[in-house]
Amino acid sequence: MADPSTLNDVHELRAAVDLIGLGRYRSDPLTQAIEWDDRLKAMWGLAPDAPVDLGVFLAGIHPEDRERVHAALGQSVDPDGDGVCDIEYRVVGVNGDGDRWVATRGKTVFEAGRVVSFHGVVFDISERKRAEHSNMILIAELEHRTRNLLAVVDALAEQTLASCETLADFAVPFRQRLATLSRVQGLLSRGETSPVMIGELVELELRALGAEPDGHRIVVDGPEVALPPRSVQILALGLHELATNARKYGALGTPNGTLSVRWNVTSDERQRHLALRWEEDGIASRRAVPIDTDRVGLGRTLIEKSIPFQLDAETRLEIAHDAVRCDVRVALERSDTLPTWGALG
Amino acid sequence: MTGRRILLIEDEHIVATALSRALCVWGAEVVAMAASVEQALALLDTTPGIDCALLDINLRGLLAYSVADALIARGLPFVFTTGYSAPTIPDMYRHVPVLQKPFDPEEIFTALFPAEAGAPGESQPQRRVPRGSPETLDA
Repeated sequence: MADPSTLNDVHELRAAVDLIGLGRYRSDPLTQAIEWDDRLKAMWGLAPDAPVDLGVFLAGIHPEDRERVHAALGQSVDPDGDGVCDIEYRVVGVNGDGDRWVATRGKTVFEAGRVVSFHGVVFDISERKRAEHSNMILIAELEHRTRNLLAVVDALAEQTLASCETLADFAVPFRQRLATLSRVQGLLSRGETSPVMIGELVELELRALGAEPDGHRIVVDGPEVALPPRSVQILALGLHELATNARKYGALGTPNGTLSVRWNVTSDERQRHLALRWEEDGIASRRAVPIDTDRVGLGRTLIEKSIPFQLDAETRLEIAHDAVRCDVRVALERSDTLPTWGALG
Repeated sequence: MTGRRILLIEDEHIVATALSRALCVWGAEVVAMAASVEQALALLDTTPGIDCALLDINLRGLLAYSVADALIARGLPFVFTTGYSAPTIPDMYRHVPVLQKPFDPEEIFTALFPAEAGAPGESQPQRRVPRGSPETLDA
């Protein structure tokens, strides 16, 4: 008997196996007898008292991985090799309905060039595989977003430039549009469990221009509505154009001006819509040249063309000498508003 | 490229507009723009005289291969555009050129009509900024 007060390989190995949750196996190539512990049987969907043989073992492996595993096992009993079987594969279980990844390491014991036994352990690595997979998707998605964003920045630069008389006119509107895109990325990076609300988007774009909703001169009012992720960027750009126009020519640039942004949700049989109205009054004293009517008009284009083009939406922009009104109606929750998550292409 | 009539399928309007202007500078004409698979298929049926197409693989979160099939069925040359660096494009579209965003519009012609690209006599684009002053901008 070993001294119970000293370290003991068997006990510590047993603890390690239990800590990690390894399944253990042993086989005898001569008798073809296979012995599995309960944990390994559970991975294959087997009861503790269920018998195991080569057929059961192979039946529980994902059909696409079966041949590869069989080949690896064959190699490990080659007396000229190192006897090691180190492989990862999918396990569907004997009922075929499991969804598991395992890693296994087995070692063949040779005596005088003959196989006498094969021992090993199996480790469930499903969680790691799932994390790896979702990392891969995340990286691809991140890159997709980044490249698309660069394409948008490229196009914004081109079109901002087109609406400028001089290069000096370019810097401020372009930087402001970039800042809007940047804020949007911040909102979207929260992920889909925390959708962007229309109220926070409106307030974000107003505050970015120093306009604090006060419930009086600047009113922002409506129910909490989660925006489809795909709509956030273009709506933010549209709101930014309205806000920057209001500061230059409208309600945010005059003490008598008032701005109200109100919205509600309307529903018909199958579709919910967000209906938002942006309304500026009391701006007659200002030079009424809103939404760059004097130029090519990226702001107007964004609102009147871009939003309806890329969302299921309608917009109407009315500019009078003493008032500005913009109506936006956007469809919420439709199959085509699902996020691009995982739809690699 | 002069006179080519293009169907532009891209769900970012700002990008589509900028591309459309760039193509116009090159003498091509964007005769229709689509932001979704549905729109693209409908426009293919209703727009006369389309010569070629630019197809964003990912439209409103959906894959656009049904549009690719429709273009192939009509024998129209097209290029895929995508934000993915290693897009998982099915083998059957291996012959279709892929442009990764952002790309230079010139790449479109090279991809679509390699035989014509850079050929002598091909007119060079007149770079201009509409309604602005290029002299001031270039200064």
